[in-house]
Amino acid sequence: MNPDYRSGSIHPVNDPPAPTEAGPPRPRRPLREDVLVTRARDGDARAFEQLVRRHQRAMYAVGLRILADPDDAEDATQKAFFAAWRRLPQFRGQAQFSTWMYRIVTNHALNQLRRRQRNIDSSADISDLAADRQPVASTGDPYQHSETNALLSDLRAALAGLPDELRVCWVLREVDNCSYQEVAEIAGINLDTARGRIYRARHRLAEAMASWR
Amino acid sequence: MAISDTTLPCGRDPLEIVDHARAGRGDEHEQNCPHCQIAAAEASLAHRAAGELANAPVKAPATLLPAIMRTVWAELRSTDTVALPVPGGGVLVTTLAIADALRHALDDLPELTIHSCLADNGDQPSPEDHEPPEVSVHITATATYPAQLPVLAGTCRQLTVDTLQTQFGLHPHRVDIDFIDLDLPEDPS
Repeated sequence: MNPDYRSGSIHPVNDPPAPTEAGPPRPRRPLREDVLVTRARDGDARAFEQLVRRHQRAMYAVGLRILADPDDAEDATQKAFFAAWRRLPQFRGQAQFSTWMYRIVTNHALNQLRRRQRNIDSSADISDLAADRQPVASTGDPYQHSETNALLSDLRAALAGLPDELRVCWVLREVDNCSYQEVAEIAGINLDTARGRIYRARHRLAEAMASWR
Repeated sequence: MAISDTTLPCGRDPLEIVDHARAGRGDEHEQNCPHCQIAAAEASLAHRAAGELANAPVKAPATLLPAIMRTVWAELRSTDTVALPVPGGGVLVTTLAIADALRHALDDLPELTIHSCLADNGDQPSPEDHEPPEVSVHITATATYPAQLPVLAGTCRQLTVDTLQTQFGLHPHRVDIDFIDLDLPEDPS
């Protein structure tokens, strides 16, 4: 069996390169995202691990905003990344990996919401969580910092009081900057319904936060 | 686009009012109509808070990454195997493991970035043939400008051959390298 190389020459394999002095392992270059995605698509779990490291915080935050429950958000994020690993061979780079992941996490969070709505009284469940959040990191101005934390705390409480379907549409539009069409597609509803929900969510949040105006 | 159940008394769509106000392009009616002004004001505070919410620090749980990777490692894609040429036989290695070892070795080449590295087991000889197993390797890569591609290709091939030989006792049937792009230096400006 003769080697069939398209170009270049190969030195005899029984003539390996001279050994080099062993030293500490060289630090690996950080790889570009498209390279990691290609490698992960080939089945390279280490490349996928780097992608998870890069995006886990942002994706968990997406899940948390929709589900308003840390355990549910972790569960949805975990399932979403695993679904991404399975679907990567079909991912052709038509979108950024982060955009593609965002949609998967959102869909898993929405599925989780639907399951929760079937099983328990979700409004009672999430209202317990409104106050259980990390405060915003200090920006240096104590007054502004305190006001921002208070605003966020009130928003979270107001969001927790919204029905899930309104909260999801509002979060997608206002926090994640989705277009109305994207909100409709991600939430699995028609465009008019999505717009109506965003409008009602805004109206109810304004009422709940009237003391700030 | 107007929606019937959310149209303001003045006939305008409140979502459009808000979008216009945020873009700073409300028309004269929107700037003077009390209904439009209320609609825009209602959305502005929550919008400011939404910005804070988007930027609020969220820390992923420490258990998240290990949990994901446990599941991923437990369900690595099934790939073909190659029988290693060892006395007595019976030792198999997946093409995934071969590609993994090659990537690891080739990542040491400073002028080369491996994008895809696939090992293929081709037609495996039966044990009665006493032939060494065939494996071919297909690499797609980018080179750092101004690398000399023929030299780099030769180095890449040589390292591939050496790694296959050293790590697995295999000799490649063929090594194909596709340079798909050149990595240009970053513009300092």
